[in-house]
Amino acid sequence: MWVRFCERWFGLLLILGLACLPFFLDKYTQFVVNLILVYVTVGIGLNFLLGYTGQFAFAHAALMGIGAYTVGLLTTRLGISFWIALPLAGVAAAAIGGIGALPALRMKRAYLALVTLAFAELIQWVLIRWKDVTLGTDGVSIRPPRFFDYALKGDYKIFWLILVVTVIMYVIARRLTESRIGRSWVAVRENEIVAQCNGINVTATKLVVFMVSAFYAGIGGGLFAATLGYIVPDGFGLLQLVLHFSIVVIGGMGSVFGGVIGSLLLTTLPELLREYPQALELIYGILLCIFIIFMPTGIAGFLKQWRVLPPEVMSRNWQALRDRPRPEKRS
Amino acid sequence: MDIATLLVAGLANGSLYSLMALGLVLVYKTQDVINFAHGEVLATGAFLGYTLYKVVGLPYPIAFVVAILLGGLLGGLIERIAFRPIAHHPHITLAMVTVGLSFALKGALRIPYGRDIYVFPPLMGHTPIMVGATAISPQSIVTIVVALMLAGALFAFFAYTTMGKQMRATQQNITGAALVGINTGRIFSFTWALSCLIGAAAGVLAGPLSLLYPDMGTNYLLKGFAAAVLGGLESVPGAMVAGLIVGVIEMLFGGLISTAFQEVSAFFIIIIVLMFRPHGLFGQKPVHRV
Amino acid sequence: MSTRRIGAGIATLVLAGLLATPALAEPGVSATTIKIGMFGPLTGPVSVYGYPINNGAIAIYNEINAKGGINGRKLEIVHEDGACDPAKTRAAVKKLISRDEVFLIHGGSCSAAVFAAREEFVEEKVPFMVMAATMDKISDPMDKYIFTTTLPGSGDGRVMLDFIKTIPGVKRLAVVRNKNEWADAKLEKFNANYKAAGLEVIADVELARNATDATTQALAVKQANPDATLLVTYPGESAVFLRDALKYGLKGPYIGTNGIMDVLDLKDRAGGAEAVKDVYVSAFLKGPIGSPEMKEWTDIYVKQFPNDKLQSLSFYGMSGALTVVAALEKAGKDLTREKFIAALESINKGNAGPAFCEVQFAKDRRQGCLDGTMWTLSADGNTIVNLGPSWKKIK
Repeated sequence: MWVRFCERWFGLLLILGLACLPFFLDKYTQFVVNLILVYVTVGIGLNFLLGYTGQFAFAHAALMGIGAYTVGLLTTRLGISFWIALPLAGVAAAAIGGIGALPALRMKRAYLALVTLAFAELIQWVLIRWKDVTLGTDGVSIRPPRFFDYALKGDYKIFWLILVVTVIMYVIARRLTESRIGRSWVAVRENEIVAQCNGINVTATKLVVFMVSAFYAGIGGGLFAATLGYIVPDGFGLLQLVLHFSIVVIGGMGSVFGGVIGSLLLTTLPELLREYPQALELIYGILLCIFIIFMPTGIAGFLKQWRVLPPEVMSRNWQALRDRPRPEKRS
Repeated sequence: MDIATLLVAGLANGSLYSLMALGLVLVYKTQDVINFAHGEVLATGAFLGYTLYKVVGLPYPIAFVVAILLGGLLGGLIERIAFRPIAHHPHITLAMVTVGLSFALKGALRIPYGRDIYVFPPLMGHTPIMVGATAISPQSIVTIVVALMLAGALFAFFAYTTMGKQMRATQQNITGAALVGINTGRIFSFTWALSCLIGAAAGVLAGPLSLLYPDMGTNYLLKGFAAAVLGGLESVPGAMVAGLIVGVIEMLFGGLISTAFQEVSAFFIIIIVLMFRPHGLFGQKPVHRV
Repeated sequence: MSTRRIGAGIATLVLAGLLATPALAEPGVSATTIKIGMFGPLTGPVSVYGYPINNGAIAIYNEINAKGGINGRKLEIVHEDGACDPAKTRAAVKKLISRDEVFLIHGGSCSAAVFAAREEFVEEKVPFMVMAATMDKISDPMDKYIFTTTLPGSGDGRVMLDFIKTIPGVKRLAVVRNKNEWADAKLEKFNANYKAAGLEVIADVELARNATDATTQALAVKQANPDATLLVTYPGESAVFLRDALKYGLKGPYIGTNGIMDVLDLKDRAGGAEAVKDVYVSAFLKGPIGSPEMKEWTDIYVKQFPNDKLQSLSFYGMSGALTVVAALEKAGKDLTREKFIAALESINKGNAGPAFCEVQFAKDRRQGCLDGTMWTLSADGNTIVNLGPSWKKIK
């Protein structure tokens, strides 16, 4: 109860503080802050799959692309309002993610990884070649969203939109993970057979988590399009995916808050390393390894272990993830 | 379109995919993780081969052997430094370490080799041998033969040597292997070394076909990963066969349907195969105990 | 004192403060320096092109500084990484403008990334000289603040098409191409105009980026049996295609974009002179590296970057840098962005340094260089021959 109270009031203060940021930041910093918030939504979405349900899926970047393209094409080519296009971006990504999940539901681990990766490659292939609809490699320029007659143009104004959406997505994520649905995800992660014995429909649960995760990717993608103002199919490839994975794993698998920390760290890190372009990849790679080797449960897990954060920050039964028995193999 | 030519080219590319798949499968069998840095291992092997052959001036066979041994050493070091401390963590965490390694290796390669695209001269020249109407490049034959020899050596290693048998035991049951006195830590290091040795060999072989740049491994990694999964992830012969299949599928799709479809054709086929055989062509359904 | 009074007092103070501030100096210009922002792919796969291109421009700026600068001011370069990624590039440009407060920006080699950042220059009214990005829609439709001295993709397409028209007996073409915005920009105008020139494209073949094998592409071209083949592929892939084309017995001529104007490099990468003997490439430099026309510029580059390999990329950024310098000189001691733009617009037959053209801007013209030429290898395969715009038999 105490935790809940603290989270609520501290969170509210934090949001109010964040809302004042545009008055203090230069445009560059504001842009980076916007990107951080966008990746919070994207990261939380992938954490549902990766951290909560233990599904090793690789289509998140492509689904983010679906969201970005839905917003881009609907607003720019069809003149539909951003406020309708953004939810539709989530819905479109969820629908396509659901279709992609169908062959993947039977699969696990590396098989799942490859099928989702292949699916992502196919999505990107279509984005590049279906020129009549997606404009192909020309990319799509996105008009700034309008709030009645007021255009949310520029980094400062778009920030408030992103902040509001991010807070909503965060709160939904917290509620969802603490609900029956969230607990069923963790049950599936821990042991599918046990989950089934306890009356959880494993297939349906997986389908739901794939779609919810894709919905988050889609919304994140829509916000990304609005922040950047111009999208190309290449932007949603392997590098984007690696960024999402780093956010989740370094932030903390199985923790909604981990998505926030991960996004904050992984978006700022390359910006802080700007001074050393020649060694950026080397330093970045080594830092990734160091973080994981010294904090294998992510920053959220590390902070929880040292009691900086309350135990509620991680999904239940987290310790079990550490020494999970592996499936036996036939020789 | 000349089917025979397509098949030969497909087998030559496929044999490289096979070697990549083999390296991935070895690590997967013992540690349950896909090594996403394997593409960079290939690139490192290629650059090691290039440096020893072109810069140091060693004869090709010696350069090849030294390069792959150094690749193996790199693998052992990676396991000891980056993997051992977290070996019992979930596979997603382990996979993420390999992603970090991939960045680090690529960044390290870029410092000396990042400013140009390098050329690895072919061992046998590019002039093709004509068999009827089918053009076969000698380099393809070298690639296929060396790949088959490596695979053969690997089979022999697993079948006849103590280390090979201990590795198989560890793959089947780590706790059991440790209980009967196998030093599993050493087995892990050795597995990584073997895997990276094969990856480096693929790099030296790929050098003359591809050009040399730090990102050259990405494509091979994707195709090797696809082949490993198609072959069932646990099966060494499966990886070999599936690699060749992926190579041939690409050529047939590209040649007979459309070049626009070539890059994604293997993925497309694999999605369909996995829908019917979720554990690949040669894999078996694992047994789960509750 | 009531709260309202305090508020009013503060407001008055702020207002007074604002009025008392002297007229703002132009960003990036001090008594002794002019800040020039530069960005490009310094990390990631494309960094192999990023450094040589930007270094060429840096060499020119350093050379000017060594000669005492411009109107008593030294040029100070702030270099940022865009990683060829739209988001990273946009961040880099924002940083240059809002944090480093540069006077102008000269940079950008990746079309999509530069286009993503385009809005920044338009919004912030910061003069921008494109470094090497070739996408037409960066500078056309024009914006007051965006200039380029790089031959745009449409221009490259035109140079190649004009050349193909002069090859005797060539009517049916095959196109081998990458599938990206770079290739699309080169092919857009080409595709719109080849029919009018009486040509026909009988095969459109796609080669993936970083392909290591071009068997299917070579066989598809062989089957179509065209009179000539157009190569719209990056240097690596072009070499792979030419190598496999030779292997499967294809016949030229091959016409390549200015992306592969380093024909001697292409020769090494494709495995020898045999593979490139019938290759003609579009080029926008005055001459190949080592030719007397290029000596001045080669010396400048080597002086600044003695360890770099000399390649055609080393000269891509020089024409832009020379044009920036010329306009800064023209704009005078009392430098403002608007004066600088006016000076750029007035450049007529400007020195493009190593580039083939003379720089020409006007109030309604932002693409300063539209000329190109064609190169091929000499019969012995050891030197590059400048053919000019039309086909000739080389001896």
